[in-house]
Amino acid sequence: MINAIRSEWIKLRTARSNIVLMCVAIGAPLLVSTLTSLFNDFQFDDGLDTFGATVLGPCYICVFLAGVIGVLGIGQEYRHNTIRVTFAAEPRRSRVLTAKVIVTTAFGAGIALVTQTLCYIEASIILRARDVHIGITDPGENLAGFVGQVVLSGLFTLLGFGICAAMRQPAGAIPLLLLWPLIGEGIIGGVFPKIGKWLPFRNGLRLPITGDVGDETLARVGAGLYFGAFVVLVVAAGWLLVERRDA
Amino acid sequence: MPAVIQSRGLTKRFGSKVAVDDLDLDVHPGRVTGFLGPNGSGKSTTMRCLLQLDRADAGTATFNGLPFRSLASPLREVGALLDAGYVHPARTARDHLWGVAASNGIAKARVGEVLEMVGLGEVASHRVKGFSLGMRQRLGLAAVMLGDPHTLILDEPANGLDPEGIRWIREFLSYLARQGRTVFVSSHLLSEMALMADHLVVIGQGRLIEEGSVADFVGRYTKRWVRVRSPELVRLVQLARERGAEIVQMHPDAADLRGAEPALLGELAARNGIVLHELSPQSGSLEDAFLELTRSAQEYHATAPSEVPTSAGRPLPPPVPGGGAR
Repeated sequence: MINAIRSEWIKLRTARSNIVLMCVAIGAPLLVSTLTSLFNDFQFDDGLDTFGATVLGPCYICVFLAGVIGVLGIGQEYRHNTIRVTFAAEPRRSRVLTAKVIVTTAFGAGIALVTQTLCYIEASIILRARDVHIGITDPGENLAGFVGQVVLSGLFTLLGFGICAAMRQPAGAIPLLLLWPLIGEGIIGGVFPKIGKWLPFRNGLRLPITGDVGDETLARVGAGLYFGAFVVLVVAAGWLLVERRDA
Repeated sequence: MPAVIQSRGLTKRFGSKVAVDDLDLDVHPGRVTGFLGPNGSGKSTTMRCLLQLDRADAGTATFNGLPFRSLASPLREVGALLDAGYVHPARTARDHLWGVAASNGIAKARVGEVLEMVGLGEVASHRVKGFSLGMRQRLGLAAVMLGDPHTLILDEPANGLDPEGIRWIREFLSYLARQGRTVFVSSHLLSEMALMADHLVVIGQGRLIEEGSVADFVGRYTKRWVRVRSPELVRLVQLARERGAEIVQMHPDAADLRGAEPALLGELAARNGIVLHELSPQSGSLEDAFLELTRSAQEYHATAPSEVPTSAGRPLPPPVPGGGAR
């Protein structure tokens, strides 16, 4: 298993697209956070919204880019037919899939963790000079949002992986992953407001949100578990198809 | 020696089409076994089924008695090259092999060794997208040799190689076979296969058609004759016909005769004081034998050039022997 993980890690970090995505996922939020810290007037009542504006909000993009990394984790193998080389070298497919899941999910969650940490450090330095308060545990919900975004990035990576394992087409999986939560669920929630609370992405995207969201979703932990269960189902379906289909 | 690669009743269907049909296969070590068949005959599908990349609908495929998925360290036991294009174009040659090697716990140092072995040492850090087909074939062969396996499965390995590369791979595979390894290789280059393979397995429409040594195969499916060349050709041919020989073809200064052994014709010429300029046994090529054997198993038949209508509605003229541009 260690060999399979090492192999997947080498593949992930030697594909330029993953490196570009990582740079964008770290660089873009850092830039937005810096500009916000420098120029926002911060007329908020407490540290909750300051943290949201300088750390959680800018890093929201990490979630979606992590999903794309999840798609590419297996999608590039199918696109270039290297999946056959991979399975000829390690024919126990579940071992390969487990390694891919571990490596890509850790990478996706890790990007969110690193980006948020960098944004928090950068915002703390700038805001201290401006006499604006920001604290990762003050109030406590900031930390919950911080952890929630890392978990959400990991889950989105896993979801991207699961969708592409089922579809075997990155060109189809990426739009589905990005447009469905942003547009598809918005339409369904608008047409059928009663089921809005049970839409999986709406609950997943609740994870990093601080403050009150009313009854639009489940509570944070419940929403996380609900979205997590949805992701597990999608990954299980993709996994089963990879195991059963010809490579 | 027992067969290393073995299949029994191997069957693979794609919808209603049977790609591999109840195939029994035995590939032995110590020789290069060529895998021949017309386009669409199921060669590549068979290879993918052996490696369990494609799920067989029936039958078994084993390496030393074990299914491929049961091999503890597959790259150290079976090296496979299915298509030179199976590589991420943006990765370097070294990174591509490194990722493959790591999956079987093979040291990174081995990557450099195999790249040198196939002549790609100087471009190890180049991205594969800049590689020619021949270079990609060499990269694929490097991947095959990563684990120094005892069994090699190669699908069209000479595809895209230049003459030097083709000679290199021929000698390389023969060398590996002489070391006692099992080499199973498919190719459309029949002339190359004739030089490369010791043993042949021929399939058509997914079924085993023939199996045997190259010499037996050619001998069984091609005609044999004797070519004689002499200043007194007419007298020699007449004498040979009196002893039962038949004329296959008359050339301006030579004749092809069937039904008489070269020794008999030589003695006949000597006894009658006829000078001989050539006395050579002739037989068809592997290509002739292959075409004869697989005539009924061809899935796709091209129209003869003389039957192809041109835009003017006239058929193309037959090729002129020795004719060039006119």
